[in-house]
Amino acid sequence: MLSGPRQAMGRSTLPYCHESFHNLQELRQSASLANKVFIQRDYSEGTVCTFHTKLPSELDNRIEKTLFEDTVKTLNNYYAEAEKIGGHAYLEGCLACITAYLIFLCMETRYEKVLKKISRYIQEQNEKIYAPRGLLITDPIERGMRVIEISIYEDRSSSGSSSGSSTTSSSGR
Amino acid sequence: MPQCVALDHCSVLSPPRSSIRACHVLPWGEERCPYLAVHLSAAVPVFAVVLFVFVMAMLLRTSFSDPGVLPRALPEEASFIEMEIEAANGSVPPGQRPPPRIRNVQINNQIVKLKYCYTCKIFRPPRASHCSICDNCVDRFDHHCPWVGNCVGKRNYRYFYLFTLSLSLLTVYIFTFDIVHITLRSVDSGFVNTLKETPGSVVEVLVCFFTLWSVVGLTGFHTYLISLNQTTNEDIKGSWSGKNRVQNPYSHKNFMKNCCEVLCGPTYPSVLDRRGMMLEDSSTSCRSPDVTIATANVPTPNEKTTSPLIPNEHTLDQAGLGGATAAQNAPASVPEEQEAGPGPREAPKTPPTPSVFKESTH
Repeated sequence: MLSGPRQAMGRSTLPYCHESFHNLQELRQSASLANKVFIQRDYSEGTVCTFHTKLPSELDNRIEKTLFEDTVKTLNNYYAEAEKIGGHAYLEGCLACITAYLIFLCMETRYEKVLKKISRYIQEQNEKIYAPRGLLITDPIERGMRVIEISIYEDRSSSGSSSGSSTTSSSGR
Repeated sequence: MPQCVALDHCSVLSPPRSSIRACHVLPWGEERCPYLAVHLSAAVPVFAVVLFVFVMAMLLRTSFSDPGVLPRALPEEASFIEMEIEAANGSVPPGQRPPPRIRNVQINNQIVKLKYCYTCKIFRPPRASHCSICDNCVDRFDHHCPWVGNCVGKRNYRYFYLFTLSLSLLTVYIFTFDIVHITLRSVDSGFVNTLKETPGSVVEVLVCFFTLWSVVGLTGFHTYLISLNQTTNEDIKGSWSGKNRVQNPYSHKNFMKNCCEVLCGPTYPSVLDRRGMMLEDSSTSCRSPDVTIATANVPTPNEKTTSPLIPNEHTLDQAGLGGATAAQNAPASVPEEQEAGPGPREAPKTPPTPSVFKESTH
């Protein structure tokens, strides 16, 4: 059985890119995809979903270190909140077990609620901070919760030069 | 004694074999229920029915939910990781084997090695393992259970445990009340007459007796694993057996905390795109009948992309086949019910082909 990553809820996606609002559409039209950077998972705290907060070298001259770190730390906090093992998780688990898990037909799990919050946060970050700098963050859930994919765009007018290290020629058009 | 692992492999299509075990309650219902309902209490058969329904619900939930499959890396991600590996290894002189692709990470003062999966083109998270039957990496891989026809992993381990636990209870319950039934009837009309009237009872007692050992044993084994926060896979491999002072970094060293984490932890979402269409020459689209808690996913058109083959001699060594190389095609995939057979041998660095090869266990 082959497996692919799932798509974010309620959003139609195009290969490699995401568009939700006008300014992001303009980004797509006037810029072309130059490169992608992948922020890997940080397993030093165990199997909880945490990403490395270190700014990759390809983004050094694109975005300020503090902004980037803030984004990743907020995402890490959201995932920690979703995976927190506490009274709420137990109650939810016990209730679900008693109802033979039928309760999930009516009710959203806590994790799904947090995932929606994360999705909204990423959209907001893209609009306010990343799109103006020619960057786009992909929701980790669309990459199997393994990486945060950041797409780097170049202006079409200066697309002769590619930024950073090159990836395979299959990306971009 | 992980019985599930020792049993035969079966294809994904076969129905859960455990339903056969659970169904020995049905003849019990026909003969013994009226007698017990009248002579003891109506609650006796009612509770059995409730327990039976719970067992079947847990079985179906285990069989048809996503165990925590890690989707394969998209081509860009795979290339990015390859570049990182090559940068870390430096240039290898031709003719020499490149070093194994392993990342070391420290968890709770314990060095854990993350292995690279050549099929999925990812570094497996801690506790994940590649299942050769399902041909996927599964997070917190416990084992592939042929009796439920699915892998048991992070997302469905608790349902699997509840299934074995409730099945044990059901078996004990039926065993007990069968004996009670035979005893009551024997007191009324003698043992030999009882055998003549209800021969099924004795057969039932024997079936329950032998089932008890395996099911209760399995439940006991998994209770032991849960108390230590270990997986069957780790237990078999002896990862945290205590040799060289190696200890389980995931255990909270507290029975209740471990149990709570495994059984009452958060319900993780599925990250699989089950309805995505993969454009491929060899396979046609086929939808999986699985039902999960994941919300409906929008199918996306995907371009057929290819990535250059990276020579991976380790696959040759590990697989022992001496030649199966993996080429991954378009990103989103169709959940295929049949396994792809091993492909023909290919020399490294040949132009990529659009078919997908299955590799043996990593």
